[in-house]
Amino acid sequence: MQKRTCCFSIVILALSLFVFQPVAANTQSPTLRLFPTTVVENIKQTGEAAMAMEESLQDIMLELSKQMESYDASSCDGAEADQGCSEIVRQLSQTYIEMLTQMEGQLPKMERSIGMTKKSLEKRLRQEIGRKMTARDMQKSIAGKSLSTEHSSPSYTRRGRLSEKFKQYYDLVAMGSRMGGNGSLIEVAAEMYLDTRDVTNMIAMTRDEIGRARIFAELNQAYAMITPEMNLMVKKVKVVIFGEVEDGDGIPDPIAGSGEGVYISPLEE
Amino acid sequence: MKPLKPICLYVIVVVLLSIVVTGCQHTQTTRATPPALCTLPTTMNFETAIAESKADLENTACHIRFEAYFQNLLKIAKGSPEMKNRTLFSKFLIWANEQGIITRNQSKKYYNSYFNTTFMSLPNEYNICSSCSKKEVLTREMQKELVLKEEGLLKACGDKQTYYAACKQFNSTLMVLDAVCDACLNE
Repeated sequence: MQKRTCCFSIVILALSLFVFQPVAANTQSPTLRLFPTTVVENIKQTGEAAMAMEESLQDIMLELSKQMESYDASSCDGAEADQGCSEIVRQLSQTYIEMLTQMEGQLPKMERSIGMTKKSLEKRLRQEIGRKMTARDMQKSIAGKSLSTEHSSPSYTRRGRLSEKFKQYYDLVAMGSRMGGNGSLIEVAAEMYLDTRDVTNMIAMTRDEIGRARIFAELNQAYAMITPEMNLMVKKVKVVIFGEVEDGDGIPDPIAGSGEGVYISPLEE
Repeated sequence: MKPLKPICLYVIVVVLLSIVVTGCQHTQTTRATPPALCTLPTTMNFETAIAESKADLENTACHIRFEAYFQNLLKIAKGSPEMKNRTLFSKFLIWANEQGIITRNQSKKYYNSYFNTTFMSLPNEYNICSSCSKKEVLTREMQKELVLKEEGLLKACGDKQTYYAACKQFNSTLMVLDAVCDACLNE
């Protein structure tokens, strides 16, 4: 008889656990599916493609920077007729075309990888955040993030190389999917998406520039001066691929407050 | 009856005149003594200012000037920023709601716009994709609200930590909005 009672108690206990478990799980905030395995794999590939592009461009960019410094130091702007200046411009345009050629070799892989990452992130951002959340919910998720707070940047001004950034993204996403920090993952997804948008624009710009450079080559002409397009292209490569950003933007980092008496008002939203 | 001496007459006239003059002055003082209706407190002590504001606002005729009272309190709090001012403001707003001066939503809006990191200018009814057409307006409203948070959190309460958290959330929210709206529009 005692045995039967014991069995009955166990069954009741098991049943109650079965019934109440989903209720307990539902009280937690829903996990956003921002990074399924395909997206994570795309991120990894994009990082590798960015690394290959950086390596191939590193020496050329250094050379280009030196030549541009020399151009500025010699006050060649507007004095292209000067023999010394025209020599600098000739060398500069040669290095520039070399840069474009190098980029052209890397573009297909980069374009494919970035395109896939952008597309899958775009879909996830739209479905998981754009349609499921109000703007206020989204702010609350960001405010209550549990992942690395050091990640959050004061504003969208990416620093550091693209490959490093994608490696960081990969690490954060891999860690985030284990830890389930929605808020920070939303920021990571958004920042990554904006990066892919920048790279996509840069790729389109590079294609245009390569087209222009080809026409010049076909006409057997070199660039006779530093064109605004040339300047813009070099700047874009520096910013997007090498992450060189001018200082002075954004809001300063928080000053350590006293932290005394954290007050929670009943009026808080 | 003896006629009055000129000196006595003179004294009587002076006394009468002084009574008339003092009487007039007294009348003027009695007119100024009761505080003019709904006059904003001028004290520099924040807690006294709250008490005086409450006393005035108990009069229904002053309800219409609630915003002026609130702004005046903010000005006084800025003179001596302290963390506890946040609590005092919260209690004042709850009291104002209980007295029927402002609605619950209004009290929440005041509190959160000035003393919390949450941006009340962000819509809470529709999903983000539906709000994307008003992204520019939203950004401007959020910028204005960040100024209010600077007034409340930083200047009136000296709460640098919470204010900078609001700044960070402002930047992050704008960045996410930018990305999400781009994704919504590219469908």
